[in-house]
Amino acid sequence: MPTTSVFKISSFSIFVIVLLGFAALFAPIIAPYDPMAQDLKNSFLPPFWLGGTSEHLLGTDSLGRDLLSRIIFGARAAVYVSVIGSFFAALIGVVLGLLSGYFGGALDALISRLVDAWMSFPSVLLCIVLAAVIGPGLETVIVAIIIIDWTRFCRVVRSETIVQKSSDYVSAAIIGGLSPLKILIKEVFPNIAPLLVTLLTLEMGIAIVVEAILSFVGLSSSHIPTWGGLIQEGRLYVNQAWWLMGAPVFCIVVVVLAFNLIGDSVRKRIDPVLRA
Amino acid sequence: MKNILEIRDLIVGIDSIPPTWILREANLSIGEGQIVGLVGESGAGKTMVSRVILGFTPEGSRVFGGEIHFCGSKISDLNRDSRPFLLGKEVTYIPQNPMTALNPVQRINDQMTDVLIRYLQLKPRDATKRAVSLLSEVQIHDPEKVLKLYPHQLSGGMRQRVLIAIAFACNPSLVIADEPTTALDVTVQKEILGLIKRMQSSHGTSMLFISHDLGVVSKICDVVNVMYGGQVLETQEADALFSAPSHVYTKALLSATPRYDRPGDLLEPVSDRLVTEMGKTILSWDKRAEACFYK
Amino acid sequence: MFGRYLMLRLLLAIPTIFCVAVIVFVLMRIVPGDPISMMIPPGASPDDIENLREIYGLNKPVLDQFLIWLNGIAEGDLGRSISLKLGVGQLILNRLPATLELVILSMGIAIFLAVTASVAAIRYKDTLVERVLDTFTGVAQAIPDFLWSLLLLLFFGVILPLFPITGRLDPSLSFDPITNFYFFEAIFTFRLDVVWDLLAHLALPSFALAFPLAASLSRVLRGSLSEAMSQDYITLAQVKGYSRLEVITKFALRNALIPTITLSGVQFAFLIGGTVLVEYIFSYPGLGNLAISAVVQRDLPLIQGLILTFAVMFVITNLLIDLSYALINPRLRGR
Repeated sequence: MPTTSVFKISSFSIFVIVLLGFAALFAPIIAPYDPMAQDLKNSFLPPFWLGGTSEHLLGTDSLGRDLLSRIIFGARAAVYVSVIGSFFAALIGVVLGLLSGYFGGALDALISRLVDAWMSFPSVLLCIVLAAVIGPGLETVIVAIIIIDWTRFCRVVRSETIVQKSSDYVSAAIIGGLSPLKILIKEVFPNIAPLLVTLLTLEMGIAIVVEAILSFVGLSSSHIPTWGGLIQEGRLYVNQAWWLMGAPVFCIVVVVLAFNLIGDSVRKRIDPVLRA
Repeated sequence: MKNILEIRDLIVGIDSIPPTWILREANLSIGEGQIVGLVGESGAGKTMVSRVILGFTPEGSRVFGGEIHFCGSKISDLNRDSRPFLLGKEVTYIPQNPMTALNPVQRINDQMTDVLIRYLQLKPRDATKRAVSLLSEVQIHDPEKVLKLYPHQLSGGMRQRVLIAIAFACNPSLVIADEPTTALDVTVQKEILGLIKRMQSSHGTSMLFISHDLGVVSKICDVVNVMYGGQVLETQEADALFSAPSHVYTKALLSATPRYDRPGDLLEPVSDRLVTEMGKTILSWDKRAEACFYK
Repeated sequence: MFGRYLMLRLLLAIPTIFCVAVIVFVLMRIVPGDPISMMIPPGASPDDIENLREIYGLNKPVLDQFLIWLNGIAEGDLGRSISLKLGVGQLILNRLPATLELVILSMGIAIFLAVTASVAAIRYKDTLVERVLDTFTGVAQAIPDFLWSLLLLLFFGVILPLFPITGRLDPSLSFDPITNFYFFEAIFTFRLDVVWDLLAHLALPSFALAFPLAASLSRVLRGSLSEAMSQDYITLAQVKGYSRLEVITKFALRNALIPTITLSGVQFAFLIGGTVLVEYIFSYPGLGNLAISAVVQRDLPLIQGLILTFAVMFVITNLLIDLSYALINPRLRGR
């Protein structure tokens, strides 16, 4: 029973994630319209199943822009910032986590205190303040993601490095005279890599939400369609045309669930304790 | 003499294929006002006997055969939820480890009075009065103060006294004491044993006393049952058992136990040959049972 | 004894808040760009700009600015909002009750949901009920409060218009409160229509905040409950003749709450951070909504004051959690 359900969940997640990646990569090709092209005569068209036309599958917004095209381009922005943000958050977190876990002592104390202090502050507030400090833009969102989420990686990598450090093969490498840097890169890192995959999957889901939040509040770029921006616009007309908000919300929820489920099943697969 | 509890040919096993047997046609009876001892090494099935009486067979296990009669009515068919009137009122329990058996977040008063309120329909104030007299019965000084305390503020011996008081609170017909002194200091052990005996005789309660310690059993019990491999091998009056054991295993067990009355004797471990022999008996029983319950 | 413990905790909170104040101040000063530029009307002369800097003390050295600000805080003066032209302290005090009502209700709902769900999951272990609850918990935890707000708004505010989706109180109800604690005041003055309307407005935002919190609480609580269920005192409770449900609620639950509070205390404090977006989404006139507009307007004094307020609420929540921990755990309570 469990194997089949994990398989089904994973295939749902993989389907969603592949679709997301596809939309992001080929947005200009797949999107039926220019996401910024206005058509005031055809504003507030409903989706086709609510009496709209097949020309605008998801309908149009207040300026007659095609909602489907805007969502596809929104996916592009979401994936762009999440991938870059997650990557750098992971990079910083892994480097600091490896150093802190491997060398211990004062460095470890310093980094651990920093992580604790960082994590005791509500992240939403932190990222909004931060974005306000830097000013709106896509880069702001990326920086916000990095600054909020490096701690997740750092904490897990640190504790895992401590475990790895006490293992026989690391002792053997130390006796063999390998330098700490080489040990970290060649011995420790490959062993924490599977864990990192899980963290990155979960992180992608979080990053997409952070992106949505910041663009929703108006702290992302206003020149390109973003999911949060679409929600914000849709919120204004929610009583006339709920789908303008409903469609992007649906997309984010599905994507977040997909990343969570895949993170769970990846964890179950690579974690022997959970798998048993 | 009337029997309070009778166990006939009780078979309990873990429901796997083939089942793992825990009790193999065990027989036991407890007469009114008696203290009946149940001795055996660990794994003999002593605790299982108490669990089955209380209706707590561990997860995955079940009763395959045999009957339990309590005061003449058959209770082995009832699951625990359909005999709550028995538990806590008619049948109570003195646990093995007093350090962990009391609820750490409740005052002693609440833990004592709840059964009094529940089963004797006392008002809270009367229940507290009754709790005070119960605590003085178990020789706790300043019972009013103890009632206001939490378990962690009491010593192990004190906690066991409280647990004994709880067990006798509603004048039960049967108290099951599962190694009640094992977790205590040797100095406290003797007092607690004396206390249990006194409480039992003053309340006129029957008692099942489970222990692995023949010395303890010899001091307190009227009748002793020796258990091995899920079977009761021998049932004797305590004096008779110690002076003239009839089963070879009992003999071996006795000569492996230090005797206060015969200080010069050498101790002899139970021989491997005997263990192998008894293992064979058990194996042949298992084969028969398997043929019977699992084809 | 208990009072002294409380005093000690309060005193310890002061350095924490001071640290937050310093960090906030520094963060605000390293902002690239000039906060004053946001409020310059088109066509203002350099003199006008200098004047404005003077008014808001922005022409002084940073350390002086900090000392002035700190001194102000000590005197209960948080400065003046640049965008709203009002005292920051007054603005915050006006909005605080609304947020507190939202926070308290959300925490109450979250605790109720978490306790019910975990007790049910333990009571009906290994049945369909447990699996259904598992799924619900998983989904509730995966979706953050931001998305729950939007989902609830869509489904129960728009598609099924059961609840209002903006504001705090229907303006057509004539209600002139003395305090800003509308809810408590309405209860004390027996304005049941107002209570009802306030609850209707609070329903969606508070459930949105409560769901993720309830899910993470119930995960921890379930773990500690099933741990507690294997303890000896539970066996004794069962032998006393209590039913399984009674054993869970009367014996296991209180014991399980102790580790739950330790492990998830910080989650409660995080709920305060969550109010920011949720209030914004539902146009609920609380601190969070004020914070977003302050951030968008880059209103430095207001942002500083708000973050300080959030930090204080954060510290107080943690304090209350510690206190409830001490209350529930007799070992910590002295005689």
